[in-house]
Amino acid sequence: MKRDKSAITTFEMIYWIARAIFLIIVIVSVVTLVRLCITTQSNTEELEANLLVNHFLYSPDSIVYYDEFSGRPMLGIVDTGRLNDMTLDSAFSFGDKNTMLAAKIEIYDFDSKPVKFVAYYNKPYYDGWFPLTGESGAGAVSEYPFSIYTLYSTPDGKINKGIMNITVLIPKS
Amino acid sequence: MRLLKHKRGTELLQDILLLVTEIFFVGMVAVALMSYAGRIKDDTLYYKIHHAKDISFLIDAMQSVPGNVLFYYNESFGFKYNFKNNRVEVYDPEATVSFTYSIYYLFANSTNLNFIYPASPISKEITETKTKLVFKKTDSFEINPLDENIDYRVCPVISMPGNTVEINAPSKELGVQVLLSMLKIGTDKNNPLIILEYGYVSDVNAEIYFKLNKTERLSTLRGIRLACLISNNLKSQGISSVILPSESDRLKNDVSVLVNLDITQAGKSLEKQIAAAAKRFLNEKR
Repeated sequence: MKRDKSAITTFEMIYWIARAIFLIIVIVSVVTLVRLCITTQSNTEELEANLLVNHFLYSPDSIVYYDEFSGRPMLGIVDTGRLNDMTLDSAFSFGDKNTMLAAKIEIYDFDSKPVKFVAYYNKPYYDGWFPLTGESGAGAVSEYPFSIYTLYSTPDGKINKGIMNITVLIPKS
Repeated sequence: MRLLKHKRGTELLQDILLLVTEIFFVGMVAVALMSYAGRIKDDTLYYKIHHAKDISFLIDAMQSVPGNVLFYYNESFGFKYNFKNNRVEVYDPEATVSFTYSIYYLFANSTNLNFIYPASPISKEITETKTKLVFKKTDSFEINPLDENIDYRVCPVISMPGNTVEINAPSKELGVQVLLSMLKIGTDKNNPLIILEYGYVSDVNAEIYFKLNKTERLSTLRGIRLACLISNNLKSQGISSVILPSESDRLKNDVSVLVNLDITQAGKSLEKQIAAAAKRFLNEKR
């Protein structure tokens, strides 16, 4: 049987086009894999959130009850007299413009559950970032919630049991 | 596709040509990737980011500590560090301008804590490859290159009780009298302000005991302060030491200093360092 030359040419063209496409896919895959293996960034969001919360809980400049007579901060006891936006902002300040972190602190009464005290750290950015939580990709915001059993002092000097909920927001870079 | 026509064996030749072309493209990509990997190998970008973040988080964490902190940071690859305006910049030592290939990260500071930034970028080479940074948090926050003059321990600063105790600070230069292994410090030989004794516990360990005059013997913390100053002075000579409760029966003190000497320092006279610390202790403003 005589071979049809045009058919052979067509067959070979299709074969080489398929082969070229396959080659391109292989090359792109290799390049992508290499780039994936080389990373210059490390995700430290959770660590930063923990640092902020620990600063609020332990630093004498923050919201913990501070005994001026002995010079000791009473860890685990929140001084509600100092639980306000200004104290929080000055306790962990990044300068005039804080684009690093924002947080909301709520203290619930352990028994009766209503929110007794609320304060914000970096409130303007918290309000702007909160709607972006839950989204993915650059420009979105990560949310790190903390719930801590605590004691809190009331303005009349009493100490009550409570739960402190801290929500830390960090923009994804 | 037929590149060559009307010749025998052209089909085979054509296949070979296409295969060679294919191999050429793959080779080009491989060479490009190797070159990229070679550049990445010498790139310090990751290390700069790591250091900038690590130092920032260290400063953040130190500020949360309720007490005093002294921290030596020697995880370095010989970068240059610049601290200003709540941020640490890390860049190559040969870079003439800080923003050339620099990486920075922000750290927080409490507005109640006075930050003392170094006046110029830190690149002091302590060893061939390492730069040591010293972070000190007391009433203020200081960042310094490692300096022989810095206090190696944060010695407690003791606030003395109001007018309940009157201290007659010596008006003249303190005399130092060395009696074998005993130092008497004070202007009055018969009533010295401090008596220090030291003896060798073993070939490589010496222990220093001291007794404060009743005018100086105000609190345990004052004793710890003196022990701390002695320890720092010895450290400046490369001699390590620990502070521990005294077990001496002869001198009933609250604390003593156990000095660890290596073989080359065994038998070394320690009087000079001890006396200098004691002088400083007595001359301090209280």
